[in-house]
Amino acid sequence: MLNSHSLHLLPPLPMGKNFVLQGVSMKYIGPVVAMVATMTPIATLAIVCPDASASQVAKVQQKTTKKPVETTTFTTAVVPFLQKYCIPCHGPTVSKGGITLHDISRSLAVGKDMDRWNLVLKQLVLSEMPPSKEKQPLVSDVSKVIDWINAELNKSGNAASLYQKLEHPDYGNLVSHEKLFSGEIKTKPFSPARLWRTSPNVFDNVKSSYGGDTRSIRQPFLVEDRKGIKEYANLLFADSAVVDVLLVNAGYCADQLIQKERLYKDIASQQNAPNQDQLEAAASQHFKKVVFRDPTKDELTKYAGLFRFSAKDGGNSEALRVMLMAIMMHPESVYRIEIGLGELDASGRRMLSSTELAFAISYALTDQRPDRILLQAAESGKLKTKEDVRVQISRMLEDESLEKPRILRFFQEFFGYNQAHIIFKDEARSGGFRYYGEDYPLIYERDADFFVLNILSKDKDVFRQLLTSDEYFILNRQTFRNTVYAFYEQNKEMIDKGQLSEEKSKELLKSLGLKDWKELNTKYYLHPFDRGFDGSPRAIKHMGIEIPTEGRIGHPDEGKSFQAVSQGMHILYEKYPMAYDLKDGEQNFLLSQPYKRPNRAGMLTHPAWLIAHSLNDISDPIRRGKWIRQRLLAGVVLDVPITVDATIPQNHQKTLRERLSVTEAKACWRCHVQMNPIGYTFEVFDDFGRYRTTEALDKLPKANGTFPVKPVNSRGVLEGTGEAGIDGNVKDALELIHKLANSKKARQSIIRHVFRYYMGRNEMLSDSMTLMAADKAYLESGGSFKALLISLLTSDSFLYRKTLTKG
Amino acid sequence: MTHSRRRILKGMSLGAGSFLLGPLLSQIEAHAEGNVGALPSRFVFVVKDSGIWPSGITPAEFMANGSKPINASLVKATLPPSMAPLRPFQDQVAIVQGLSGKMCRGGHTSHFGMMGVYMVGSEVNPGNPLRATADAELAKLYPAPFNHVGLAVRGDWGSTNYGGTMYPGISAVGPGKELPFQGSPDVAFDQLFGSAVSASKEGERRFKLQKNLLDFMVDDIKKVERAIPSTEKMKMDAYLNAFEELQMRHSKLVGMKDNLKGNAPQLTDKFTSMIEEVRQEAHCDLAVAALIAGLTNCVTIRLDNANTVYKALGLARNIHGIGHDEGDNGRDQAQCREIIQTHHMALIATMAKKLKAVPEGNGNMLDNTMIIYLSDSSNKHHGDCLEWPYVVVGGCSGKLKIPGRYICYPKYGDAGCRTIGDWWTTLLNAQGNPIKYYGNEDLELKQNGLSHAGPLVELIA
Repeated sequence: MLNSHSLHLLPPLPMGKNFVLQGVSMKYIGPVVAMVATMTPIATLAIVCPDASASQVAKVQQKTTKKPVETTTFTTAVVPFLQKYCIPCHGPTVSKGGITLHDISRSLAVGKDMDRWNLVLKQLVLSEMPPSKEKQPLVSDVSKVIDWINAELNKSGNAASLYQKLEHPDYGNLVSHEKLFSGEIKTKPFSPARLWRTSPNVFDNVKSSYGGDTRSIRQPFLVEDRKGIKEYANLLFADSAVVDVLLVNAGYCADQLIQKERLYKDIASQQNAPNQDQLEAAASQHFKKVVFRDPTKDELTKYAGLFRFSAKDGGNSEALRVMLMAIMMHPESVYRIEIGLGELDASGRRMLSSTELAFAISYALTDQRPDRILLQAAESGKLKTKEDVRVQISRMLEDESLEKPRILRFFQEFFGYNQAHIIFKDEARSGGFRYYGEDYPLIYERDADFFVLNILSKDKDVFRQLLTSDEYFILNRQTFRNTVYAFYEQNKEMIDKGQLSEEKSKELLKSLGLKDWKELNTKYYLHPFDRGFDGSPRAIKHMGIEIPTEGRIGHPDEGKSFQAVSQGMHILYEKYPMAYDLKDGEQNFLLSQPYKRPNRAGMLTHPAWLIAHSLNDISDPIRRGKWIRQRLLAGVVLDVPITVDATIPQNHQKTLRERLSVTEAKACWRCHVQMNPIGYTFEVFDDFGRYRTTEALDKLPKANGTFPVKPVNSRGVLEGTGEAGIDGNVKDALELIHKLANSKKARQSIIRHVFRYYMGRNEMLSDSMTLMAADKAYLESGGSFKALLISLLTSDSFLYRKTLTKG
Repeated sequence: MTHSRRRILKGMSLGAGSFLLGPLLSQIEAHAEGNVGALPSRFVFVVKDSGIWPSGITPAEFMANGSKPINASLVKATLPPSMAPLRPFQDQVAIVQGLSGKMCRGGHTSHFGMMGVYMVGSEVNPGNPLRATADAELAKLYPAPFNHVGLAVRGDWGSTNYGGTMYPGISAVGPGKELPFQGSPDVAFDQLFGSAVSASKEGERRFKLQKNLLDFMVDDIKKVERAIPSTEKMKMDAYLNAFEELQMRHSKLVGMKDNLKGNAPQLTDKFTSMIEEVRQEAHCDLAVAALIAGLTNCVTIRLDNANTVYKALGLARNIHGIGHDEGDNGRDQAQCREIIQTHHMALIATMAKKLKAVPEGNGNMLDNTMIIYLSDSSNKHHGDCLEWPYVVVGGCSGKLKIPGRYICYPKYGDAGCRTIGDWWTTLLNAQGNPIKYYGNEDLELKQNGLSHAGPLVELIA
């Protein structure tokens, strides 16, 4: 099947007018796929999941309960392998780590020694064993053993959980950190050829091209709302749930188009059947909008056929509706097809074609389809090489007018601070955490966004800044409000008359730190009422009225100065600054942001993060420790064993840390040692994110109006970086964080997460070169996130595809 | 009798317009004349989070029995106060205890294991379903336009998703294929009854043309599928299957329009409420209406999850907090559980009452229904799967000897102990699926010679 002739079948990618792409036409994919399918995969990476036929066999066998053990391979391949490479260290004489393999059962097919075989499988798939200093087996020998284990596991009706785990974001760290950054792996990186379901954010942006009121178009591509990186190509499917919504959307949009657009209206209302040209024009126009390429001649003929067939029963209007709906549900509008249409290289990889690249680049940085320049580059043959890609990515990163919300979203998902609003904090303890429907945690999350954006705008030493900066943005809507109000008071006479000179207008912009009013909602998170603020005298005056004239804060009649009124908190946000250890009246919300706060270090001490990683009425040392272990130390924490009853014992006399000492029992500590000594250091903050030195025992009765307290014990241990001067005892979270900020492993661990986010998958060992180059680029640029992105998005992992086989 | 069912259907409807009987309804009425054997069995799975305490569903008379095996009449027993709403149906209530599920994942949730009988997923991730869960297998035995309806107030165990399509990770229609649940009652209403209720002349034509569209899409996708790498076919298959399912449904719905029109529940603000308790009610209304209309014979309802707060019931702490004994305004876990269970039982009783009011065969629809109340974390907040309590309401189509019985199996590891694999096998066998054993076997019991891996024959009528 692989011959030079089929290469010539690849389309030269001619571009349509108006930069509409002549893109991934299915007609052309056939031969390419046929070729790719014949390539030999790298054995250790080839197995992604057990194949269907094997599991069917397993089912039949399960029914008959006969499970013949496949002995031939076992005796000829598995036994010799174990004897040569494993049993010397895991046998009757030496049993390192308490693991022995000389006595492992061959009856895996009936469920014997499942745990041990799974362990063997994991070691082999992840190349963890034999240790790199020992003699290494041939790849083909390893794959024989892997194949045997998989086949036997299938027979037992228990497919290996390993592969499924390897694809899930929660288990990305199963791939050895040390190996990834060792430099010993020279495999040329690639991503598997894949379909990637349309992202909900992209859909939000493109839905206007479907026709109709965008508010009536529902989101078909939901992604589970949870902490962590969400959009993995292999975890998202367009299934019946998606189709149910797509159908409703398509019906609605088709109706709108037929009602409102001339081209469709004419066809719908004419008495006679439309001619072929009319039909093709109608199909083509909508196809270009929603599939974003020119339709092929074949496709147009088919759509026209659908119309004609339907018109017999339903008339022009209904037939047109059906045709438009079919276009809107075209498979390429639900999956982005990214299989690598470039030429085959010596490593069995194919680079993405210009068209594929235009989309890949655009969806990596924005939630939009490729812009004109990208399309032009693709069209004119200037999007073919790594350097071409670098030029485009640099251009897009530098272009401030181009919205790049995916960058901030990475930090939201990585840190998980955007989940603060889902943690229920009861009103009684907080003294008004949610007030008149104003959800404080939601605003803390936005504060955290501004914190991140500020650091990104400087783009220096980004990870260290994120971990240690004490520059916080606090409720900038109040700064905005007070600044405008002060301006109004100073220029009252003029504004009351409805006048405002250009010079004065500029003065207001300047005091708000804005270039123009369009910038307002990107620099400030305003109350919904204020988001339309346009700097007009009317709007300014209205802002003055919004300052409460009665109530608790600074009422002029109480003799308070104007200053107190204008710099005070709006009544809605009276309790808001408490999470930053600020009391009412202590803050001055006329000062330009950010504010330096004592006893804080970066994101992990930001109220949004602390709340997102807390429980309803207590902090959450274990999960906080787990978070750091996994996100910053590339560590693996085992799943909670099913026998564990994870109830925190009640004891009103004890602090939370004291109560958690149950986890220090030997059996528990094996895992908890990974989490608790890190998580405990955060006990210097309460569950609202307030700094503290004592913990209130708030289940005990109050004495003299306050709860009894006990001193906080925030001492902890940082272990696992393996770096001198970093591992060791710490007195609290602040010391811990400053150490982490200096850790190489923490930096690399973050980079692994950036990789996952942008590649839409977990890293494989074969991505080693990409990760090491990214780490280097980050270091050499003085900690520039942009430099890191450019490195990742011009890496082979991003640019090359390889078709893997399964099972 | 002939028109009794029709009257009921009318009574439950919107009340506007005329109600011409559609072909399907005539069929059902024919059944109502007495052809009992041909009547479908119906199933409603009501899944709660955080486990069901065995003691919380044990009648006073049997408390002293502890975990000793027993199979006794429940008809005159004193149901716990939290089960009071079920008293009018006590002769059709069954309490089944003592069945173990150690082949499933314990902890906060067993995900698909609850009805799939295998270990899957992790604390945060439901994992990939290995096979169709038992509810889906039962649904397959009684096909309907919507083979299996999933309704959820909340998503996956720890998720905060609310409304829209959700994946609670408890029910699968096949390997790797999770059943989508609808979280918005108003959307569910549209999906189930929408076309018929808005039926007009244009609507009728559209319904007919929809077939052309679906056929076209199936063809279109197949063509694309041929061109993509085999490893990625699964993704395109999901898209293809969705349209193929719609094709099948389309042909079934053809005959049902008027019937649906007469059966749609009244569309009130209940269907758009943000109050969880009200949404639960709306889902239960839809479930029953869909059963009565013949739209489906199987509904799985995910009532709540770890993040649900029963505010309307006066609770301030979420289910997770309650399960961790964090207390709620001075109430302990047991008290909170009682409040919640009373509410759940009321929801079930309302469904049972509606079904009972619909005559069918020689009795009523409840006679041919099983409402199964269960939890994905078996017997407690961190389920240990040592026992998996079930409350069943309905006559079970006369196929099981459980209505009106209190049944407790020997405890795990004792002679005669049985598993949830045996339980689901029993249900499947009784309903006509001859499978020898459904689920993964408990290998520990097997090693000790205690595994039966077969139906609980004593429960099959």
